[in-house]
Amino acid sequence: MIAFLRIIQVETQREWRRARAYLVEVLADQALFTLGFLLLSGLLRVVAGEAYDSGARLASLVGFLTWRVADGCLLRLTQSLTEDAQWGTLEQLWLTTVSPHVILLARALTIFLYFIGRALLIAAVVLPVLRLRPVFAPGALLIFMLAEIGAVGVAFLIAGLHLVYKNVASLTLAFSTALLFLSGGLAPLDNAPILYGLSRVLPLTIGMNLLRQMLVEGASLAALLGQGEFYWLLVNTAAYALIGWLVLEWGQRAARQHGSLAHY
Amino acid sequence: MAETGRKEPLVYLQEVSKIYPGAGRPAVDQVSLKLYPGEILALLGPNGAGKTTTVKMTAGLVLPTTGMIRVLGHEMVRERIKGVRHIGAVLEGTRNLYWRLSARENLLYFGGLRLVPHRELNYRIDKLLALFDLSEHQDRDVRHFSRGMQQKLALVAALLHDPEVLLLDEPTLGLDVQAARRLEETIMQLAREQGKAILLTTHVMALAEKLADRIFVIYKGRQVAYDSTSTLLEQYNMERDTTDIQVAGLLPEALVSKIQTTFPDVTIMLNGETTTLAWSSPEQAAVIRLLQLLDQHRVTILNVGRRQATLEEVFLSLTEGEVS
Repeated sequence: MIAFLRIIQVETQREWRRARAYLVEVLADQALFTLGFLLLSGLLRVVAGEAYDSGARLASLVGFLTWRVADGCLLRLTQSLTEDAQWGTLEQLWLTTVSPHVILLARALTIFLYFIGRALLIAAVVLPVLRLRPVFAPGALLIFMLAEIGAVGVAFLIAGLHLVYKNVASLTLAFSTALLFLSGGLAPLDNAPILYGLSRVLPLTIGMNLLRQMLVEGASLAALLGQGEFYWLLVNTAAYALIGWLVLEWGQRAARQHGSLAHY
Repeated sequence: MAETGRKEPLVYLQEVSKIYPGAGRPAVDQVSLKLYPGEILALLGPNGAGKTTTVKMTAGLVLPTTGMIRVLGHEMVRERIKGVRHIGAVLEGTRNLYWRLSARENLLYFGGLRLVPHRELNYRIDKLLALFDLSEHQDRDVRHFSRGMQQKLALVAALLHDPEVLLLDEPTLGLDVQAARRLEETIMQLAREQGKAILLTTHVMALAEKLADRIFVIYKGRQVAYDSTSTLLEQYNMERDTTDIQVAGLLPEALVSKIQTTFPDVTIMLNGETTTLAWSSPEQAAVIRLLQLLDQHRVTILNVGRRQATLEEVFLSLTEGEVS
């Protein structure tokens, strides 16, 4: 456990130094997502009219921010592996005293916390601009964590594939962007039966729905525990986390078999 | 390395082979070697011979197809994490560092990943940066470093956890003469004074001849020679000697052509203002005939002498022998 905390510490320092080195890009990215949400929200207001009221806007924001954290984790974890392969530092990670799985887990956690911070900054701008007030529900943190663990599982899955098939990284952006719409990030997909069926097996959808129930409609965590939806979230999260871990294990073994750890 | 036989090897490769998936022939074929404390072993071979694969298998970065690799007794397939604790590696030149981080930030990161305690890590970083003359550059981003400085910093990063075994893949590649010489001295110091076992790959034969206690020549994945540097050179020199005839200026084309036709084993090399005709194991009568030919063409003979073969000649002889 102490070793894991140490790895988190060094990964946090590295990520922070990297963000500092790319400060202009980070600020531009942050502005893009903040303004991007405001723009999308305005468009939905134009298309849906009065039906897109403050509750619907808050529901969109909850979905958008949940997706944004997952999107950040997916892209940044894959990008960090690509950079490591390019710089030759990926092999150095495999030459350290701890398992590369532990390093990647610590890295994922660091990136996760970093993007939570950035999502909160988006919320800090959007909430007052759109005059939205979410319900105070500390229990939502549990739902949020479960939804994001599933997304981190997907990030591991992509990372594992990336170790063997280097062009996977280029598909991550497309997948992550599609996830915003296919998981009902901006608007629930209740009225689109085919997409709704698909969205149920994606990592974020159920978590977003439950978060909306708590933060928009004011449902309590106890009430959610009585729903089958919550247990479906548990199964969904566990499945993605397990598959992600197994694919990562397979990927690192296959990369060592092919001698492709340093390839990019 | 006269005492190596009395110690336990730190690295032990036993009949190790590697066939990459989809490849027709083994990249490494039945290679066995031992690396002892304080020893420098040079792994020599032309491009694609299997040097880097051998080094990466030793580090646990590439899985062997068959055979066994042990690092300080740890079997590198099943106990990789335990084994790599004792290994520091600089692979593929300068591609071992984060270019957008400073030297110190890189060292703090890699030292942290190797779980070197905080206080000790800072102490070791200061000590190693001073040893490698990098102290005053520690807060500069690595991307602003020269290639030599990046190479040295990569070596510092590999030494942070004080490993017993160092794996260096082409350590002087791309370095200028001064930087290469300083790195050579450091490598020698690490082996002789700190007892590190060093496995290095290089294309620079002079470097291997100067540093290595033993030489392992690999060609098309197979072991071609494996012995102490002095024994390899002695054996070669016992089998043949090299006669050099040094003459003033350039030889006329017609004479060069005649020499190549009459004495096909003679190699003609230009050295600035002089020309050297090198001849491996010539008969005395043939040497006299060549000297007479030069004299007939009024060529000024500066020097005639026998000399010891260089490692480069031994290496070329070994690998060309394999080709033929």
